[in-house]
Amino acid sequence: MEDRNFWIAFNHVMGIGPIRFQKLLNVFGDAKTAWRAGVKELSEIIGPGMAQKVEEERKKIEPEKLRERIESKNFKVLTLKDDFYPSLLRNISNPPFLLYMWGDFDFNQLDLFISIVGTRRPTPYGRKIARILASELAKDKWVIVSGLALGIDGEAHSSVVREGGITVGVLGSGLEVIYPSSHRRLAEEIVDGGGAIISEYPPLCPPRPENFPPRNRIISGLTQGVVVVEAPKRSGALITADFALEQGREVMAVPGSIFSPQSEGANNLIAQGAKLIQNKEDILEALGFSSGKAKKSYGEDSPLSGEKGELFSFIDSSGVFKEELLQLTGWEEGKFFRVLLSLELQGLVQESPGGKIFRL
Amino acid sequence: MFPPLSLDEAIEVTKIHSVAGLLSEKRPLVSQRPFRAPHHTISDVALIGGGQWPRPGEVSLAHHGVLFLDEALEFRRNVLEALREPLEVGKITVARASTTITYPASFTLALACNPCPCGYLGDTKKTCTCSYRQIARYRAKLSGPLLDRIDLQVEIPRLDFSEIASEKKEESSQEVRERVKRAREIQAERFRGEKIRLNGQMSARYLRRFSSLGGEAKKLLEASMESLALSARAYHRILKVARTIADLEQSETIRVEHVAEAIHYRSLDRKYEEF
Repeated sequence: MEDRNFWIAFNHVMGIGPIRFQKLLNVFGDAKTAWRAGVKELSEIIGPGMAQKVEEERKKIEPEKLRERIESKNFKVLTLKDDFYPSLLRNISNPPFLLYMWGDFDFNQLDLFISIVGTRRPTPYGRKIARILASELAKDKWVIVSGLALGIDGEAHSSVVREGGITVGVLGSGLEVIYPSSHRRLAEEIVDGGGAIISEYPPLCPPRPENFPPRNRIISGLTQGVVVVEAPKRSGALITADFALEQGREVMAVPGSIFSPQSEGANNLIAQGAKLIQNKEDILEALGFSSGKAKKSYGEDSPLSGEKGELFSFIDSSGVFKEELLQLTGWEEGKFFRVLLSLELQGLVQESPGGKIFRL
Repeated sequence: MFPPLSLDEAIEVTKIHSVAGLLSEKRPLVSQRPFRAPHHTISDVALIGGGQWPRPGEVSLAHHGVLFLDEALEFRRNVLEALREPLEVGKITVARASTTITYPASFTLALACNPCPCGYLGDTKKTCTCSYRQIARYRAKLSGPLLDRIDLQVEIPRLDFSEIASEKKEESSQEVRERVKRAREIQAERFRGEKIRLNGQMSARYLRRFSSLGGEAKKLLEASMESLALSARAYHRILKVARTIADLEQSETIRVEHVAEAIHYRSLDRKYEEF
């Protein structure tokens, strides 16, 4: 399909999104004709400013070269016209007219897609939840979609990779500009594991802040539902949840402590009607799959007794300072440090930068 | 809380201050332990000593006393790196065209810094606004060889639970000084006839002799090394600090409690996940 080259060309013009591109297709029939249309004709459809932009760009862009370059990088191009364009994403109100994909993955061969999203700066509690939910869902053959960001996103992706499952990362930058760069290795592992990294932005597009909110519509659009794990009051994860609602996808959230700012957004979602998630079974139920199995409960009556139990009872998931804990117990330092260390070694609590102790 | 200067020490300190021209008629003998707190814009020459006819720098002026660097991460990197030699050998050699001079420079180093560039990481009242990358870059300034030589690392949160704290009777500085004095006596006894005087100066060989751990304490340290991902360099530091904590409690053996407390003073050595 020769027209693909011109789809790619239009994708490289900043400001040409799905809506303007659709308008052009409606008038000109195909991208090639639109690409070669006069400025005047164009400006009637997309406005004079945008038409001028196209005019400037098409002097610089050689559509054939663009495609060759993308192929040389082993990236695939998925257009709205292709059969292998993700079918769930096709149904949203403004699907990207074109996606770049790194990896060998066919969205339409599988049908269980779910996204796990959350804050870039989680507490140990949030990390643990992301880890548990992502790996359990991966075991059940769910494809986990997230944003490859630091924090909850990264934790979800890497848990799936460890489990040998399939996961898809959606970028707010081009495929050649993995952001954050510290996740480059993770991206490779995702691709090697049979998953994919995708983006609607040209391969060399930098991670512009304004790219991220529209990127989130793809994360929710690719899936049956969104699970928000730890999100503060203002968080990209909440934008993803809004898109999910708009797109008719299930919105789910894991509650957290009312003292933890990192859980404020997730708790608010639940107050507004998002499904409250306490385990994988809750997610399956919300999506209409009844597992029939008993729900797993992660809450434990403190399995500890004696001094360990006493110290543990003072520690919660939003963190307590060591000094404060020492005062609360009223113990001598020696005993305090001994018991605290044994809780750490059992993996029940963890110290974080800033000197706070968190329950895991 | 430091034990008073001995006469020998006082004379040594006085000599250095005399060379630096810091003595006055009113104060011909330095009898108090020096406390030096240079500003973070200090040059490496002013810190370690130098000039055409090398004069002692801050590290030597702090000999037998305390060198305190506030906002430690604001100091230039080469200035911080210059501290490595005196910290290791207790003296500093300054070479110039005219002459080469070695000054004593055995001091207690105290560094203070914020947890992150904005200062609010882990704070209860305000949210930190730094990016992960900023924090990583900031902390990296302190990592490596310098961090190797720092025995006690403590994170101090904002004090807003003062009501609770005030209920408990704190040990007075006077009482602490007494304990330090006794601990020093124990160490003097331990190292009689040896080349060193203090726990902090113990090499691996001395550690095996004086700082061996009982079965339970050893198991705890080994388990912690692994599961808290402590670096190998932390191991000897923990042994020395545990020995000192035991001395402060006048305990001959190093107990589990002592090791546990020492491990908690290595918080910057832990390899944190991104945050």
